[in-house]
Amino acid sequence: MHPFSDILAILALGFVAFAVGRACLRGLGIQPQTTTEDLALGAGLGLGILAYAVLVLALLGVLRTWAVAGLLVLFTAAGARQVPGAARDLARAVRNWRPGFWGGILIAVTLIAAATALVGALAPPSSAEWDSLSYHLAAPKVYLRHHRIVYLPYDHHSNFPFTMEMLYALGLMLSGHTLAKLFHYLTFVLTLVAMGAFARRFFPAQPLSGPAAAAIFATIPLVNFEAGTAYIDVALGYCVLLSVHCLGASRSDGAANSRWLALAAVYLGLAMGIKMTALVLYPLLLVWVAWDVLRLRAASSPEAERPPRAAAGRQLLVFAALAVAVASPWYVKTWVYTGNPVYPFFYSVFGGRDWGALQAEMYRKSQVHDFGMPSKQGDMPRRDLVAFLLAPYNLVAHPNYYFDKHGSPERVWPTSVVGPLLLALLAPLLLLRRIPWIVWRILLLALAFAVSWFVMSQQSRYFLAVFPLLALCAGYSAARIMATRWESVSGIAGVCLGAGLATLLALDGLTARELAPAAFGTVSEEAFQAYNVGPSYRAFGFLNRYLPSTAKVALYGEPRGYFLDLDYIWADLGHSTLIDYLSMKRPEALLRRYHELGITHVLINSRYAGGLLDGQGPEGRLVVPLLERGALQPIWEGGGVLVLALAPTPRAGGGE
Amino acid sequence: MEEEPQAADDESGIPLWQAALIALWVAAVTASFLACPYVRELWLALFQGVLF
Repeated sequence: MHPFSDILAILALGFVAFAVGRACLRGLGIQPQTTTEDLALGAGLGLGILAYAVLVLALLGVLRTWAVAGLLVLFTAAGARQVPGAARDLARAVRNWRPGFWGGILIAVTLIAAATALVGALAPPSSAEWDSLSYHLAAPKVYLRHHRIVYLPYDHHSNFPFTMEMLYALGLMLSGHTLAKLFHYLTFVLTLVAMGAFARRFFPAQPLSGPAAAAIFATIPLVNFEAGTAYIDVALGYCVLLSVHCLGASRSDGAANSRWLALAAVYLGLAMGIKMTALVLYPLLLVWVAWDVLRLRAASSPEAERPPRAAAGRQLLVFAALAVAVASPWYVKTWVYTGNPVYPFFYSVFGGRDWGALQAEMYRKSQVHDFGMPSKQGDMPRRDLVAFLLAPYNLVAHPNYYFDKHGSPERVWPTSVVGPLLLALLAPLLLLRRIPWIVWRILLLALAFAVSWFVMSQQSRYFLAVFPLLALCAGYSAARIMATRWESVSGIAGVCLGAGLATLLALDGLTARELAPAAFGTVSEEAFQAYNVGPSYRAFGFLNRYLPSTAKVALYGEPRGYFLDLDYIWADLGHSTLIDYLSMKRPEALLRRYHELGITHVLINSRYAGGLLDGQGPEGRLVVPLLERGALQPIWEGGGVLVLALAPTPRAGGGE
Repeated sequence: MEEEPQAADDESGIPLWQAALIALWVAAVTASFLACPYVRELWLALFQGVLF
C-alpha cells in the first residue's frame, strides 16, 4: 500500500480507538478535564481493547480476513456514538489552542522531531531494527501464516507479552510493515498528547511545561528512532505515563477517586502486557497507591468522616487485582506454553520448555555483560555504586555502552543518543522551591526503576519506560527556570535548551536522511534492503523465490526471519534446546535431528555466527563436517552468507 | 516537601547563588554534550552533507 494510504489508515484506526476509549471512559464515570486528556486516555484504552480483541482472534485460530473485518466493524460500531462528539471536541481544541510565542517554538521543534520519526516509520524495517525483524514483526507474520498464535520453540521472545505485536499483526494483515510500524508511531504521538494533558492538569501555573516536555522527549534520538520502528518501548512509556496520570488525578478528583485508581490499574496492566520490565513498576505503584490511600485516611477529620480501614484496603486490592487481571492473558499463555509465566527469566525457579541452564546463562550474560560502562575498553561493565551515580552522565557522553553494539562497540550510533536535557534539567529541581508533589513522586519512582535497570540490564531503551515522566519533570524544571526573576539565569538556560534541542534535532535528521529515500519511494524497497540489510536479504530473497513452500530453513547467525516466507527455526545453541549440540558426538546426529525437525535447508550468516564456518563452537564442529562430506550442499553464497541444502534423507543406521 | 502547593511563578524566588548554580549546571551539562566527539562528528557530517 502507498505510505499515504497507511497514514490515512492509522489516523482512522487511531480515531476509532479514541472513540471507543472515550465511550469506555464515559461508561466508567470518568470525566476528563480537557480534550487532550480525553484523547490521551481514550486512545490508549481503545488501542488496548483493539489489541486484546486481536489476541482473542489469534487464540481462537481465526486470524483471517473475514474475522478481522468483522472485528473492525464491531469496534467501529462500539465507538460510533462518540464519533461526532470526539470530532467536535478535537476541532474545538485545535481552534482554541494558544500556545504563545515560546510555546509555539517548542511545539514547532516537537513537530519537526515528529516528522523525522515519521520518516523512520514509513521506511521499511532496516537492519537497525534488529528486534523488529527478529520477532516484533517476524512472530506476528508467522501467526498470520497459521491464522493463530502458535508456540515458536526456537524463539523465546515470542513468549514475552505481545500486546503491541497484536496491533502489528493487524497492521501486517491490513497493509504491511508500514502500517504495523505506524501503530508504534501512533503511541509516540499520543505520548506527546498525554504529556500536554499531564502538564495542563498538574502544572497549570507553568504553561511552558507541556511544550517543553514534549520537545525534550520527542527530540531524544533514542526515542525518535524507536518511534519509527516496530519496537514497543515508546508504547510502554505511554501506558506508564497514563497510569501515573490517573494516579495523580485520583488524588485531586475526590469524588471519582476509586474510578481513577481503577483506570490507573488498567494502564499499568496494559504496560505489563507490553513488556515484562513493567513488572518492576507494579510493586512500586502499589506502594504509591498504598501511600495515597493511607494518607487520605489519616488526613480525614473528624475521625467519624474517616473512610473505614477496610475501604482503604479494598481500594488497594482492587488496584492490585485489576492490573494483574489486565496483564494476565499474556503470562497465563506463556505459563501454559512453557511452564514458566515469565519465560525465559527465572529459569532456576520456574524452569521452562525448550530452554536450559546454558541458554539461561548465555542470555543473562548477553543482557548484563554487554551493556554498561566498563572501566576500560574490553572490560566488563562496572556495577558498583560509583558506576550507578555516574550512569546519568555516561548515558549522555557514552551512549554506545548502553545500546546494541551492532559489532562496533566504540561507535556512537545517532539512534543511541539520550542527550543532555534530562540530566541538565532534572538536577535543578533539587534547588527549586515549591515543587509539585507529583514531581517528587515521579523522581522517586524513576530512581527505584533506575536501580532495577542498573542491576538487570543497562540498556538505555529499557529505561525508556519512564522517559515521558522524566521529560515532564524536565519540562516543568525548564519552565520554572525560564520564569525566574534572574534574567541572566533564564537566558543561559534558554540558550542551553535551544542548543541542546537543535543538536538533538540534527541527530534525528541524520537518521531520517538515511531512511528518507526508502520512505518516500525514490529507492525501491528491494534496493534499499539489499544495501541496508546486505547479503542476508538477497539470500532470503533467493530462498523465497526458489524453494517450495514445504521447505524449512535452519538459521545460524541470522535471526531476521521476518524476510522469510517459509518455515524456519533459529538453530544457534543460545536460542533454545531444540538442537542439543552438546550431547551430539558425531555430525550424523545433527543431520538426523535436522530431518526430525523437517529442516531442508540451512542459512549461515558468518558475520554473526561466530566461527561456525571455521568449525568452531558446538555448532561449527558438527556443521562443517557435514558440509565437507556433501551432506550439506551449497546452493547460494554471497557476502559471507551461505545457503545449504540437505542431501536426501539417509537410510537408518550410522551415527548415534 | 511533598505537600507544598504549586507556585504560580518564581516570585518567592531563589537566592542568586542558587540560580547561578542552576545556570552553571545546565551550561556545564550542555557544553559537555556539545563537546562529545560524536556530536562534533555529527556537525561535520551535516556540513559535508550540505556542502557536498
